[in-house]
Amino acid sequence: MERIGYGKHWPVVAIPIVLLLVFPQVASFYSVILLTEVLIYAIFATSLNLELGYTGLPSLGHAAFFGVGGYTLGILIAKGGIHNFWLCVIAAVLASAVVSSLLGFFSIRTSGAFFLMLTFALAQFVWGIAWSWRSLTGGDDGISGVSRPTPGLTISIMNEVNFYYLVLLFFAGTLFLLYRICRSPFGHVLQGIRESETRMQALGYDTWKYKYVAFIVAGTFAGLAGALKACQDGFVSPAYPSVVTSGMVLLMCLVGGTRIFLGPTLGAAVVWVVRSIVSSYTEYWSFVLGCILIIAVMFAPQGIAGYLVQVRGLLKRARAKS
Amino acid sequence: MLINFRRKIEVIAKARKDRAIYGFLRNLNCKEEQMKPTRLFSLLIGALFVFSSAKTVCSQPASASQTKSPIKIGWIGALTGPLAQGSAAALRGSKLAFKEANWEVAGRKIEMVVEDDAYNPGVTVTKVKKLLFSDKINLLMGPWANASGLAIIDFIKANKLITVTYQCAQSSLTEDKYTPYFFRSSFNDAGQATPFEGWLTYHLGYRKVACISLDTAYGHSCLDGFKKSFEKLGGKITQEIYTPQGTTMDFAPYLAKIDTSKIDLIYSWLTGSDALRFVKQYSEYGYKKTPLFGANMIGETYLPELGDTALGIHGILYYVQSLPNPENQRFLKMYSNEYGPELTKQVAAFDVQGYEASKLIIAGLRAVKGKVEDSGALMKALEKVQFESPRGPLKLDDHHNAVFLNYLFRVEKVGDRYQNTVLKAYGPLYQGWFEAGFQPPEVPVPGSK
Amino acid sequence: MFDLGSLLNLAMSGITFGMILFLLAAGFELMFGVMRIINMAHGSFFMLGAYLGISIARQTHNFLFGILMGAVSVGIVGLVTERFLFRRLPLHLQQVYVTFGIIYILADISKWAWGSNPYVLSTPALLAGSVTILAKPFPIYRLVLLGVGLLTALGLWLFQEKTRVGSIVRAGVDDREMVGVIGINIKLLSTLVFTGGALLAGFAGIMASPIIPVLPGIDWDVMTLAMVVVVVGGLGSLRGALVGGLLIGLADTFGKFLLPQVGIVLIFLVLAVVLIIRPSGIFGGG
Repeated sequence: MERIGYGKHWPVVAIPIVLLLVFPQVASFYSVILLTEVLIYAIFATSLNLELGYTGLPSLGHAAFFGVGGYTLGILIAKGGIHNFWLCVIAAVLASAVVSSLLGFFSIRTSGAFFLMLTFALAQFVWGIAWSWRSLTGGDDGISGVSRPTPGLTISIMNEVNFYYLVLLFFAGTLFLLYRICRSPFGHVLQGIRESETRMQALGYDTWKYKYVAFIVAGTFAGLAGALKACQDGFVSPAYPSVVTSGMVLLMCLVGGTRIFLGPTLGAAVVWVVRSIVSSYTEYWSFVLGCILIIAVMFAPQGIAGYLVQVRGLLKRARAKS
Repeated sequence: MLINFRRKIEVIAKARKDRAIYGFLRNLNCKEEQMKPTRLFSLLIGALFVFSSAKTVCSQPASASQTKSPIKIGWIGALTGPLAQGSAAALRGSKLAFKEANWEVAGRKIEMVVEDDAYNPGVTVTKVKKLLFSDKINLLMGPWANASGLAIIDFIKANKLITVTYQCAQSSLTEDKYTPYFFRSSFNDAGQATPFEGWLTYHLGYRKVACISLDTAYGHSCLDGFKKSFEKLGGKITQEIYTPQGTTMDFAPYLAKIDTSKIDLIYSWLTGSDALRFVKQYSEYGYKKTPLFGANMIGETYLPELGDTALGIHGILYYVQSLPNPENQRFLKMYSNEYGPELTKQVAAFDVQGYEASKLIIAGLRAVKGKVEDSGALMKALEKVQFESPRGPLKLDDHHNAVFLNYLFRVEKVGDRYQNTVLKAYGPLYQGWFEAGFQPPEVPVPGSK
Repeated sequence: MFDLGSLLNLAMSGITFGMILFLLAAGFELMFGVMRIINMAHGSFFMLGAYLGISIARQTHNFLFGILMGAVSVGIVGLVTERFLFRRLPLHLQQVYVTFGIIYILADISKWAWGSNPYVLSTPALLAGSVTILAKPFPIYRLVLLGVGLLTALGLWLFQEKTRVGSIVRAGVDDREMVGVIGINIKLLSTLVFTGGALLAGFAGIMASPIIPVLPGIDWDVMTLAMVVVVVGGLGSLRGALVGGLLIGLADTFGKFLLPQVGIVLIFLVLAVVLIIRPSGIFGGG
């Protein structure tokens, strides 16, 4: 396993971190809220990419876990009156881990097209429960009044800027963990499964187990994203586990690039910002997103991130030549 | 033999493919190194940084003197989604009232920022935050959906944002979740409108009713409101059928459930395309012998689509296009001048609700001479506003909820047009009237000869 | 309420609904079977067919012409998509993603062109009434739908079994690579199949529009249904489309009648059960 030596590359790592830290001090209040949402969706999309990009399992039902995380936190805080931030977040994460192990058990036996449809169907099932179990979830009225309990050290996160820093912390932590997972031998086995499952089986790996673990890990982080989003909105609704949300996070991965670790983050930023800004000017923002996706697929099959990397590679070669 | 041949080809192909994969896997580590994620990251953050700073720099400085700077009103509705037509109609109505006032009050210009929450309460929260923090609105109009109202009520209270909604009939918003910053010029479903439907149905002589409604929180609260009054008075609801919103492709099974032998009446709260389907299939399957009531289904937007199948259906609502009062005639004429005769044909309650909410705001702003910043005075002024609306006389009660008349009407064909003809008027109704034991008197229809 | 007349009535409703599902799924099966593409925009094609058909029928005051044009115009959209977008993309997965983007694009184009109101196709007076079967009224149009569905199924079967092009398509479903090796123009076959599949989806949309009003949002709902039917019936099998369609149609109808609270979740339950018992669907090749 290679060590990633950042020794001489430290400015490259430090600069984005500094920019992120300094952001709220210079940007408008609303931009901070927007960036908080982007970070939450980045966590969500990167978790999906563990399945999609690294293991080659296209899931159209990832929002189910987003929903489970969101609802768990929402129900505990708004209905259960449990105003302990860490307890609720941990509960949300655990709940989504449990649900993903359950759904994964049935989904992992399939692959490709079947997997897409089965994850979709199971997610719709979760959506249906959220919609119908009115006494628990409030039905389509949703759960409102989800306040943000203090995470400790008497720093209130009702303040949008403080909440931003908290989300930033989760974002950094999640990305770090997922990056280590992707670069570990486990991650390499996943990529091998993506390329040729039979080959990996021939090499002696129990591919089912690897895929299953990947599914659960992905679902768990999606649940974390859901819990954070519930905190931000102060509200949970059946829109969280819906197919539209699953589609949106898939879109984020595809637009950003599934073969690069930071691709989904970039995709989340592009899609969410386009959606927020374009929707203020025209109601036809779906059209814009659809065009972006098709252009990305046709001209930048590795997503925008992949395209940028290619460009960098070309530039490098050009410089080396001259 | 062919099968063996094929199998051989498969094995060879697989082996070749595998060799390629093995090579790929070996190169994988090296390739990954080249893709330095962190540089990409810097690019990303830098771009966001530049963009948001640019936005801060470019947004208008509030330099001009307060009294002459424009009044910014945010308008939010479900402009995309299953009930988009209602929001679009309300927006037309809202804009019409501001146009009538020449988009200015007491020398200050009125600017409207319109946002769409796509019928998703999470988006409502985000957009309202944007409207308040980024666009710096002084007042909010909306939201449309009940769930959206529930989503933002705490935010409104915490941020002291004066909000006038033109729909959002969720009862608790002006009952247990009441906050003085929230005003509702439309109606309260379970606390005001639907109990009246039950009360009137009973007083018209019906005793056994089958109810069909959407399986949503709104649908349930409508039926609950109806049940509250109808059963208390002595009526009996033989069946309560809930249909899943939107995803119901086929109504046949629900229709088949209705046992028409035991009932006097079918009451429906279905809206949108579900209403269309229901009415069409109701007539196709031959249920016409049993009377059907339901205002949502026969809104003027659907009448042309329904055609003859709608004739004879009754409804109970606070507005129909054929109301004879002079304010309604004036409103329709103004609407036609602005939006053309085609859209005017479809004018229904939503257009009027949008219009009223804007008129309420204009009246309140006029009373405080345009000083929207003085929110205390503005709220007091809004509470006292009353005026003649196209639906009849309108004012607010002490919980900031609308008080108005209700009408009984029926679909008739007049010439070559289908219209909702007013039969009777009752009221005025206020929130909680049924619990208070009020018996709404029948009153003459305003404007009728 | 449980007398024979009602039950038969309900069953027939379920079967006619199943016919709509069959028409929808048949196109999808074709596309997947031969081209290995999951056409995520299938629901969007359904929606577009309904919108275009209704508009044309209203403009020309001709019911049949509207139906024809509804189907044909969506077929053209499919043709254009295949010819100009799919041809350039080597990977199946990329083509699937393109169809995903098409969902968003068609959704907004429809909204721009037709607005947010629901539209229903009015049937001519001849078909608008109902006949009495076992003392219960049954709409004539649904019988027409049943007939059309069966005719289409028959037509597709004949096409597959008896015509040369049909046998090529069947071979393509079985073994795509070999078909290419034999020397058949795979590109032309793909275009044909995708156009045909789109045409079927548009046809399903316009045929269903008297019963199922078209409005924004229906594309996702219909795609859901199509996926459920196709997976239950078995990917790549036309027989599966028919049986799956009928099964889901009946399950949906009877389910809503008997257990209305389960309403939305019922078909997903059926799907999950089928997938757990037989992952490749009823007639799937695995």
